[in-house]
Amino acid sequence: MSAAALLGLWAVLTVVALPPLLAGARWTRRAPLLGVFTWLALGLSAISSVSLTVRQLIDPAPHHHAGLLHLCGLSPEAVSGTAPAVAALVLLYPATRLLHSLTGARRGRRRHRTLLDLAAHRGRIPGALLLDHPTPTIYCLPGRHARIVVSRGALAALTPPQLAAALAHERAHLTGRHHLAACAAEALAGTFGRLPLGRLVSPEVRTLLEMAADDRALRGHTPRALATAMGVVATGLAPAAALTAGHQALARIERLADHRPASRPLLVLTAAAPAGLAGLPLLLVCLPHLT
Amino acid sequence: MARMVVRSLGELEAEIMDRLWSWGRPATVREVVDDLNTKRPVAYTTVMTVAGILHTKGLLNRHKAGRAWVYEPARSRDSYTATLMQEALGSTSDTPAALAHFVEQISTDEVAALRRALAALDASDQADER
Repeated sequence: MSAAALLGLWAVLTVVALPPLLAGARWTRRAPLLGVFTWLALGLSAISSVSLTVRQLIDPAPHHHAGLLHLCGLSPEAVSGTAPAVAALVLLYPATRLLHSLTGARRGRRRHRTLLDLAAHRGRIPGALLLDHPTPTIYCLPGRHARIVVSRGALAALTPPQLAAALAHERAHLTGRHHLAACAAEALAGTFGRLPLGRLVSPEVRTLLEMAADDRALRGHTPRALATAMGVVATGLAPAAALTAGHQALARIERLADHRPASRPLLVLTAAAPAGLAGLPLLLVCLPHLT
Repeated sequence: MARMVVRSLGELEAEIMDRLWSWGRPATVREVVDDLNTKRPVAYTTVMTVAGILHTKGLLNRHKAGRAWVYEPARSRDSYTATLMQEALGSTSDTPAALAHFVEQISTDEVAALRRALAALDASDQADER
């Protein structure tokens, strides 16, 4: 089989066949950060295989057999000419989506923060700003000038241990820079539109990031405090527009009820998944020339 | 150094707004400075400059009373809080990746399922203690 056919087949697998499997996988719930990396690696693999398929279709000429880099089409001769140029053009679209997602989120945060710093009360909750509003909510603004925000409704409804657990969860988002992974997932969703990868990547990555932050919070807080805090905030007076992602809260609380960290063999095994997914397209270019 | 100045300017903006909101009436720069000075020394000209910035940003309205400007907030603190909460609860913002929520809010149908999940958690806690 030609390299173009192999790559095309892999592209279809990564965009259509693998996303539903990964979304249904149980191990991602036990090792959420690895799950996030696997989703992003799957997206990277999809993009690079589409790009390399295009390149192979335009210029299927055999490569210079002088080392792996040549085989993979990464030699100086191989990166000039029409085929690599068109392949690079294919990469431009997801790159633009990523840039758009990152700058859009940053602009939104800056606008929100400016107003927040004026209207919120500081000093009432250590490490967080207080918004004087009855609806219970807790959220964070990531980025260089990060803020954690607690509404008066949440402050009134939560016990001190529950609030501490919720704040630890938010700090985990900030220190883990989870917003960057969320932006990358959003860019992938925009790139692949209604295809399975495009539909699944963003909600899946978001849920896994929440679970990763939950795990981090559990290092210093009990599952019960964290789950109760989630229950209190989730069932608070919700406006109609926000009633969408409830299954996520449920999945997280059910997970806390049955909390088992991932075993080491599982971690080692699944750590290979992102690396393998990301590297495979390059290997597929080489494969026909190796036999 | 430059960064410190910028940061303290932001804080001063918040302090000025905080006072005008809690007083609930128009006030002169002199009144604000005197109140700030009960806590820490701040120059009159600094407060005057920052009040001018807040006016330019549309956060403060002002009119002349005699020789001095009298300032008052353009909108109430509650109205800004409502705007922020709308954005935070996702009913207006078009940039969903901008904020990270502790937990999404859920429909009443799901509350029962959630209570069951919490009860299961309590049961497993008690099993652990035994």
